[in-house]
Amino acid sequence: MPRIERRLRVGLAVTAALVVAATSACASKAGGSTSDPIKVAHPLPLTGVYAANGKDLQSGFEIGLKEFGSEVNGRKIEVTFADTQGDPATALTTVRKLIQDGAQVVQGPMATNEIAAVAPLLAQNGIPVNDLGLCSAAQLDSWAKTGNGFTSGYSCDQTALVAAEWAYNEMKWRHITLPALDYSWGWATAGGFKSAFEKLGGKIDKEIWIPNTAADLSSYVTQIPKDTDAVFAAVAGAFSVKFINAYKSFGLTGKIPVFGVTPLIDGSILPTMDPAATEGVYAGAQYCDGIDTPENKKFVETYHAANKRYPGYYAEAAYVRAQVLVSALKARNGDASDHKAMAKAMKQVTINAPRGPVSISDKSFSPIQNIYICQVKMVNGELRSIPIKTYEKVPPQGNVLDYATWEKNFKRYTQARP
Amino acid sequence: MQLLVQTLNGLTLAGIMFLVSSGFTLVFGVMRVANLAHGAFYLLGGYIAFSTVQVIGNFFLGVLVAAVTTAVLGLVLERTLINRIRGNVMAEVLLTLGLVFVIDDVALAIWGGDPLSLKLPGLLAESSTLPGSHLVYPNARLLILGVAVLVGLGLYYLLRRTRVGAIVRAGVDDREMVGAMGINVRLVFTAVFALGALLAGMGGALGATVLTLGPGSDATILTFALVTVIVGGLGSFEGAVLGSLIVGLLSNYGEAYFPSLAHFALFAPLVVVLLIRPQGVLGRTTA
Repeated sequence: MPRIERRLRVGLAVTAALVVAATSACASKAGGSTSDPIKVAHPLPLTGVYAANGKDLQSGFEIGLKEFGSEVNGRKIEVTFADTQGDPATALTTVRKLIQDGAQVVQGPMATNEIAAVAPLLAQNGIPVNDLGLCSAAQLDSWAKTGNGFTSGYSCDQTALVAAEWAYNEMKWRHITLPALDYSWGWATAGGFKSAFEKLGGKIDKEIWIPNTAADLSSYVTQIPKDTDAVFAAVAGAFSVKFINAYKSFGLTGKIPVFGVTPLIDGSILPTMDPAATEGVYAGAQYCDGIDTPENKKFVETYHAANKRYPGYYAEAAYVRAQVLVSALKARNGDASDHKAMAKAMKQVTINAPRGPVSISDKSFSPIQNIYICQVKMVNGELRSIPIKTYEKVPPQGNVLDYATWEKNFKRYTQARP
Repeated sequence: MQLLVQTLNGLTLAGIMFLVSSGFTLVFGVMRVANLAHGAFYLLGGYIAFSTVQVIGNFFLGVLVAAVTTAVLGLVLERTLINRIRGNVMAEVLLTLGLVFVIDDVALAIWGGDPLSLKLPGLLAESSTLPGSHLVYPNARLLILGVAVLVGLGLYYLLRRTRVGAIVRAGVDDREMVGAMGINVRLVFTAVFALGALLAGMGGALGATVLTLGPGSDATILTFALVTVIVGGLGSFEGAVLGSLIVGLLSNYGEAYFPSLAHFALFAPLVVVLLIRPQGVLGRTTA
């Protein structure tokens, strides 16, 4: 025991020394400089479960800065990528530190709960923030109050609202089974889908709630009624792979059509998926890699050269955030010191992103943009996600619901099951 | 009909859990080491099988390579690290926990963080209609069930019918006495640790066919394994069988019939057992 204690003490001393060295290095960086760089903070998960997505965000943002310029009016854009480990508590400490270090603009963290955790802190300090998505009432409330934040990504249920419209009007499906992840993102997605689909006159046969700790999806997939018209799967990340594999192995592929939203068939997971199980799956998406715009061709080419695969929505969302940032900075002649003016400039940006034209709604502070119905197809021996229908300039509330109903639903479904 | 499917689902999940937890319980029973890196061996086994299948293209060879590699790794770690801190419980926990972080991060660096799943060859990727019903059931899960039963029988034979098994069982009961009989306990320790790692690696390779593989899968499976061995009885082989069945079936029925209590269904047997029989259903109270 004493030996271990001694080792522990040595370890502590070394850690303490490192911390002191690191903070003093930061301090000397913060002061003294005369060239006044634009300080951009980008908290994101670089270790832990979400590390791969975090690296995708970093890659997309860096490609974006390279494309649109890492210097505005002689001022360098200085980006600090800081690890949040995908954990809300760590994200909060990371962002607090970034603010202390003088961050002028923040590109919000990644996981829904991280974003919600840091939203009030950023609002208190009035720091302009562009989040990855709008998935919590905490964001909507604090942005409405202080006007510091928005997202150039998507509002959580925008894609689901369009998927419902497409399923009812184009595919003529009337009975849908709804497996969904049992936490805020899944609630919002399933809730949005359900409210639009039922308003149109469709019926939800069954809701199946999948806890985000589930290791095995077989018990959920086998609950799908055999006579349902189609399955809308509100799942993401590793659960997309699990769900689609289980769907195939229980003989449902090819019998009951399956569709979902962006992360179900995202470019980041397609290379590892089983073609026989995945080909033909649909998703309502703000981005899929086969979108036919000149901006997307260029982006896909650059991303593919750097990462040896096709981009997913995380990479594109980060690229678009760089595009928004640089456009706003150009409009402000490189001056990011005035928080209010900078936030306003960012929200007023309209751009042609890889996913198409994007502008920011002044009610929900999230994008008015094209939503695509994408389908997985085999192109030259690789699985790609290709748009088969485009809904142009969709507002955050979709085309079926009015804004007031949407806002009421959104605030409810991000906090509890629909 | 639905009940039959859910029972099969529960049994296949129990199969994976048995492969993982039997290794854990063996190591604990003989060495009194709660090897927290057991889940990391599972993860590594899955990843190695994935890469082997990608390179060689043979699934069974992939499982074999995964099992052997993790066994060798277990052997090396036992000889070089765990060996040094024998008997110091705190240090053992810290060391195996440290190994988790190291293995996880190395795996993240090599295989990245995207969810992977192991593709099965030919007939195994298909599903069969079970005789006498319209039930479609995936062959992969039936394979896992079969392998788990075979491994179970093999372990049973090894532990109950061979001299090696007698030494291991004697080691569980009274280590000093085994040493006094002139048996090289160190060698037994190393062999058991390697066997445990082998089972975890094999579990990972097979598990990766129905569960996805990615950062965090090791923690999920370790949780299952811990619940399983605590319910069944720490260090007891029969306990691992029984614990896997209880936990696998209950958590599956829970997910299917009481979805809002799904998480509770996993831990409920744990709470009940700890209250009524803290040593586990088939555990003994010897220290």
